[in-house]
Amino acid sequence: MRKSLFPKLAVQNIILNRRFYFPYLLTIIGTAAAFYDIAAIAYDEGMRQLRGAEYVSMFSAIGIFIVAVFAVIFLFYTNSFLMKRRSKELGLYNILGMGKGHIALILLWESLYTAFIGIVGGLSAGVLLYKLMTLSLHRLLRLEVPFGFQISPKAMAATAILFGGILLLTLLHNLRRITVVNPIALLHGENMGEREPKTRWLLALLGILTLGGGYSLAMMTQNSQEAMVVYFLAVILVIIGTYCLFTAVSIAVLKLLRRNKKFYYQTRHFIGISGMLFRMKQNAVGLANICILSTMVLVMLSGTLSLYLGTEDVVAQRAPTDLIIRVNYDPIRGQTGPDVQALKERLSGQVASQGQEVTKLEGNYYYCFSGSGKNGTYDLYSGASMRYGSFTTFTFLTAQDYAVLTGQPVPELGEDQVLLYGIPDDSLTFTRGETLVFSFQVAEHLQAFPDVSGGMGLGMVGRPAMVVVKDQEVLHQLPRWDAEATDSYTQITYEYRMDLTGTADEKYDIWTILSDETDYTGTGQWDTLWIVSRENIYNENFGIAGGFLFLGVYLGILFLMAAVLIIYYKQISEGYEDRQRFQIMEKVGLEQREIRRSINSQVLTVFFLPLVVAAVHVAFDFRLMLQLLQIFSVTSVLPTALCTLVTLLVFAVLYAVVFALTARVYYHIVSR
Amino acid sequence: MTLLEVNNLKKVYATRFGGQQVQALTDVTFAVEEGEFIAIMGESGSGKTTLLNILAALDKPTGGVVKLRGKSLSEIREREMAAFRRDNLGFVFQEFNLLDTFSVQDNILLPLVLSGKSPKEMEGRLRPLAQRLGLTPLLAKFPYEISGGQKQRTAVARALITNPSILLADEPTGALDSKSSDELLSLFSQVNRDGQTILMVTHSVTAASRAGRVLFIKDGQVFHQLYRGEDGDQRFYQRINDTLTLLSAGGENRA
Repeated sequence: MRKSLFPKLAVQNIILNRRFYFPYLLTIIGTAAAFYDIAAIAYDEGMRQLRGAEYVSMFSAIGIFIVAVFAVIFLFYTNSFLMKRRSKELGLYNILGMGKGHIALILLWESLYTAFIGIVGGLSAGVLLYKLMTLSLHRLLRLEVPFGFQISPKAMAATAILFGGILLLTLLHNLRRITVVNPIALLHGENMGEREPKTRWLLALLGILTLGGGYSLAMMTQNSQEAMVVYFLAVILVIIGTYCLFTAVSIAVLKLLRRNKKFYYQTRHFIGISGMLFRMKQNAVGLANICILSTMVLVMLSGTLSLYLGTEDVVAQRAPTDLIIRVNYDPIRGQTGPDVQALKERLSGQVASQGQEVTKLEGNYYYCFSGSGKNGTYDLYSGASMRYGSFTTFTFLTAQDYAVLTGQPVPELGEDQVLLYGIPDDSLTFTRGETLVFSFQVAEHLQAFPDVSGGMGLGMVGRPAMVVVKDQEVLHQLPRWDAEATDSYTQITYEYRMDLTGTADEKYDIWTILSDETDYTGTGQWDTLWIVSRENIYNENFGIAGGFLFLGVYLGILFLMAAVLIIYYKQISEGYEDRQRFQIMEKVGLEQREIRRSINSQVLTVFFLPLVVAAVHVAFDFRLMLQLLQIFSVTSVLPTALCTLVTLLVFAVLYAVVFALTARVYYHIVSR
Repeated sequence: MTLLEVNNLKKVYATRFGGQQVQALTDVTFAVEEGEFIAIMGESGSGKTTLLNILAALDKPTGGVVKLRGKSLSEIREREMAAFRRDNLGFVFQEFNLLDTFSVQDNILLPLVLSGKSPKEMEGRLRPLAQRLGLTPLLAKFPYEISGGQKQRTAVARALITNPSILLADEPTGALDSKSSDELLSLFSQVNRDGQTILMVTHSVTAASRAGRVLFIKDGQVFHQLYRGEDGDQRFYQRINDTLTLLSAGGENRA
């Protein structure tokens, strides 16, 4: 046989099998482009130095790993589908007298072409997309948009090596398949195993249990700490449950329906139920995959989107003013604290020297710690708080400061009396283990509390409580008690909240001057002075949220692509199987319209089932997501609900479009 | 009484772009009496399958008329065609055409389910029929679990359960071994004795020799026909064979 025959045959095969090969090539190009882009971002040194973009680099490093694993699994899946469809063709070659070596040569050439088209195409698409992505990324992170094209040779090499490797592995897998299997089996490869599915009660039961378990875990978590611990477990349970649901529960339900003669022996149900039984048998795993991928897309998109949109609020909460100046001092070591007035003048003076004005300046002392427990008794031992998974963060203010902040007269309080906001207890008792450390009586429950910064407990992990104590002496006593009980304590803080005139850049300059270039001698006894600018918090938070959203959208699109491809392949294989059934039914006297309607409803059910199940998953996940978002201080329910709903709707529309497009291919096959 | 009348049937296939034309049936005329068992023979390409497809209303003739109990098939509207086929015609195919998603029982019941019969009536019809065809122990099985002969019997049961006016069989023994073929043909004879009209297209002389009358088709026309008369299977087999030899010899002479 002439040597040039094999490359030619390989090209011909790719063209003849375009219905399967085209999406396969598209998959390779798509995943390769995705991999290149995420690698290029991770390797981009400039990106790492960009203010607020360091998180994207970090997430991209995680992303590289996820995309690589995904690429391996997904390319193997599509390849096995392709080979299954082609087993007849390869068997025929064998019977026509080609040796297995010859077939291997053809496959080798096909792989070479595939790899070439896939990798080169993927890299080109990747370079183009990279520009688009850096544009959108900079928008997301709220940064200036840069110009020019960038190419990352390192990422290109990584892409070529990874995908070359994967394709080599699939080739080896295919070669093993043809050497192991005899030609007759290859010829009949497509029509094997038309057995009626068995009811696997145990698996069905396991499915119901794991799914129920996952759902109830999601419903029972009380707070973000629990949510964090439980989330992974719940996800695993639901994934197992989903597989069982599609493989075993569906078949059990269908068989139960079939047992009901009155119901079963009606034209629509008769064909529908028996058809679905076999469809579910062949498609269960594929459908479960679609369902899980869809759920992932939905959860990632709605979660990261909520986080991103909620960040505006978080920033406002963490940094209610342009600058927040925190002065820490240690009464245990005898420090008396800052000279509030002198410090105020020093700060204002520096601002004035830059030609700007202070438009708002207020301040207060506070002390902060957390304890675990409930109903008025809290354990200060810090290790315990994590173990119990639920704790309350207390922020103590003085009555004097409270009065200034609210503009009301100073409340009359005794040494052991407090005003309390945030929790309903009538007394506060702090212990270490069994030992009482100190306690307060609640004189009054406050219905509202003035806006203070997030550093003081609001918006922090754990249930926030604000406590107003009699005076500074009581406040100074707190770290002492804390130290006695737990061997560790934090310092007392005086916090200024300051608004300025000027642009963001001018404010940033003032921040630098106040942080690094100001002499604070003669402003009292204190340890550290720490200034946070809203600009920094803004960058930091949008860096994280934008990074998450970026990764979420990125993986979301990738998973969506996978789901679309699985749907497409399923439609094709369904089509080839249904064609015969379609023809038989017509001969036996079923109207064409009726056949079409029946098959249509089956196909619809099969393809929209995963979407419905995914929506249910997302609904149960919602509570968990809210709690996880609290870790990032996003606490509003309504916007998150809206995000989830919109994501779900958009996804459903997209899904329907994909379905409609692939359904056309399906009908083309069936009615030919 | 005449059950099926076929008059001057003609079928021309045009290639897709209307270029060349192929004459599958030139002029076919014959009649089937109630209770007859007819075999139609002919070589490949003689137009047998085309004829059967037209009789089954799966295909439309270019010219001529097919009448079942005096009613022309072309008068039946498209919408009612499926129901008409279901109620009046029974089909047995070479490839069995059983649905692998249904058990034997459900395959047999399929036409009744399509007609919207009650489960009770289905049961009533299924029992004696399955008994008669020896399918009772197989009812719960699936097509992939039974032999070719059993599959074909299932297909016959599916064709008969609607009590059709005429049973159309297309090479019913084509995919069966000789023992199963014999069994199936005996079954046909038995069903025919009970009054079922059968029209069977076949290649096999053995199969044809079990019929009451054999029509020979050649070049799209009914070329010849043989009545069994008082002959036994053996004698009739001989006569059919002789006719076939004559036919092919005559064909060559003509060419």
